[in-house]
Amino acid sequence: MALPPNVNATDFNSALNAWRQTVGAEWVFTSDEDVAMYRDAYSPWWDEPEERVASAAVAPSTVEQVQAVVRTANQYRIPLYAISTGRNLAYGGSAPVYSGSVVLDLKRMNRVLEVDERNAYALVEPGVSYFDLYNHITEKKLALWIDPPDPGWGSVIGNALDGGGGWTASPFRDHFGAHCGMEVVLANGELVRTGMGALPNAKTWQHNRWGFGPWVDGLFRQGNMGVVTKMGFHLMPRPEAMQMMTVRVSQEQDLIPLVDTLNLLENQHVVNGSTQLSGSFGASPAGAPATAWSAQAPVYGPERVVRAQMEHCRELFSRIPGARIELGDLTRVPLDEAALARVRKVNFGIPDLSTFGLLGRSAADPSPQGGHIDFSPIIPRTGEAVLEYARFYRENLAAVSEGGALRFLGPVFMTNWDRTMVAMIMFPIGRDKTHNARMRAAFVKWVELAAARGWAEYRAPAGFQDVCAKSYSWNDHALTRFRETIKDAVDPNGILSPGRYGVWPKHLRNA
Amino acid sequence: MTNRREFLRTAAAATAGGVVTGGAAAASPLPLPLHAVLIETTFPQTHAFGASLATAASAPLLHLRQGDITAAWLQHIAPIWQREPVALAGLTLSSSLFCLETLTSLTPLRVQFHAEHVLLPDGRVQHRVLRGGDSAQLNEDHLHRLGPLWPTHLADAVAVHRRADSRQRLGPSVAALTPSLPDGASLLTSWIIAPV
Repeated sequence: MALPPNVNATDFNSALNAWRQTVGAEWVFTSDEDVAMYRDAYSPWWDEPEERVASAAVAPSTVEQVQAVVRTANQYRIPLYAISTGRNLAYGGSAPVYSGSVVLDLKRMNRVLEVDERNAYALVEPGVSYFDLYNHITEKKLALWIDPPDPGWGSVIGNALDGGGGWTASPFRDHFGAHCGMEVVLANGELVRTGMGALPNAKTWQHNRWGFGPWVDGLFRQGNMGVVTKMGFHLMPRPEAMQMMTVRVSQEQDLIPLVDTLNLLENQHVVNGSTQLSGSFGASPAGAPATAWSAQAPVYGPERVVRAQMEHCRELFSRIPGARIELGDLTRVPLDEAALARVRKVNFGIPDLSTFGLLGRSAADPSPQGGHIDFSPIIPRTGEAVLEYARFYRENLAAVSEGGALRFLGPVFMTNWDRTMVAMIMFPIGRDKTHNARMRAAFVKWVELAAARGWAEYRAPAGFQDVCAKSYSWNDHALTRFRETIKDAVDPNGILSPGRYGVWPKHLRNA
Repeated sequence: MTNRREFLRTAAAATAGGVVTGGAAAASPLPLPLHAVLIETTFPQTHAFGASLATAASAPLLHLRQGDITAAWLQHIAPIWQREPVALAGLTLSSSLFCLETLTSLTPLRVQFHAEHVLLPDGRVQHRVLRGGDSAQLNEDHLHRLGPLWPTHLADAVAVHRRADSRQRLGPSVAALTPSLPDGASLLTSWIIAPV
């Protein structure tokens, strides 16, 4: 059994015994094999000494147990690393940022506490997965949609707290943005409810996210200031229909009016689905019209409104000279069997795991490694920026990829969040340690090159959170220092997820 | 004469009834009862494996396409694993095993047998047993020598795989990460997930 850093065996055993009393001995995991189940399956340091691993795991089932576990950790100065379901693959999975931490596994807290159809919200615990919430809504025959990411086995709360996004309509596919109210166990074991939930006998916890006074929920997004034990989410009323428009342009410079038009339609809430932007980066098939860029614009809503919105979209896209516009079939909801077999399920609020099948051998990825880590910088949402990013990618690819020896996947331009464009590149991770080391070096290089252009990541694998956090250095790292000030105040012993997203407690800072 | 199916049924019943058949430190002499057999339908090699093992184990055969376990998980596996940790076996893409193994979290289920089969463009197959070969009495050399008959032999071996010693702890498999493959090769993975 490994020990947490700076904790002696006597204290650790005392803490483990206390936790066994709290949660039951069968929910405290200390054997090497059981603890190994919390390894990051896609760790770029897999089987290397630097791999970030836990020392133990404890799995409470109630809020009171979480409070007791945290108090014990505080008593013995033992670092905890809270996970919901721990399936945030490519961004660290269930492994701690600070090696030797004890994983606080919240999977057993898996109750859907409330789903209100009339006001379209849910209140859930951290162990509730998208599958769980979908099943609950389906069994109750509620006319509501969830917004699952790829894949759908993750925690609704965990995905929101990690900054995840989905594939249905705005504003629901910004998962943190769609939350409304939290319950949080602080480092001293105290329980806090945010927003309207701070009112005794609150009737409006999931009706208004702001409440009264300074809003603190953001401290817990990608944070380590507390352990979130409940969270409310606004859900999408089930739409009548969805329709997709695809627009193709022939000239690279046509991307500029294409993105401008997409932005206008989204900012006017005409297009509310998750738009997709694709560049061919090569020649079109023989005989086909040249396509430099294409955009997909889905619209959800009542059928008559969707048709009218699509006409408006057509009118605006037609102003781009040479644009070719294709209107897809209107898909009515609920889906029938034929539609279900045809559509991408996550676009219709249906969680699945099909994304893992895409990780096999393909023309785009002839040497699949199984795992990957994702470089996800946010770039301006303009055609000029996308073209600049494409040039940046091409200009630096040879050097960073060791003359093409390393194969990356992407870039993929994603618009899961309003007014935001993510230009993701995937770095394959496999069993070959030498290959992984080269990928790690390439990843860091991309981070640095992008930061020099003013682009930085919105989310990062656990082992690279420090590197990415350092990109946000404006005014001598003022933001990081402010976060550290808060961390020191609310978690003076630094027991909650040390190092998560670059925020370290005082005793580990600069260690 | 007791055929293999009847033997396995008897074994399953005995195991379910908690019959103690050996010392605690010894592997159970009884083959693992399988709740279902999963195959990746896009590879012809999996069909012989699936038909043979499903028959031997009197277990339903679940078909996956392109590694997607979603339907099998929602309709068959999740409901039963919520009640009891029953064993599954398969010949699938490695991503299917990885997904199922990830979903065993907080259960006593572990990957007890794991082998990789690299399908080369010239028709040859490279086999590598990563875990549990002894309990399955499975020999890589024998698989090689069998040529195209390897899936059926593999099914026979999986059918008689013994439950792991309850004191033998097992960590995660390496299903998440795939080995480097020669150009044009594909990877299939055979496996058993069972309670320890």
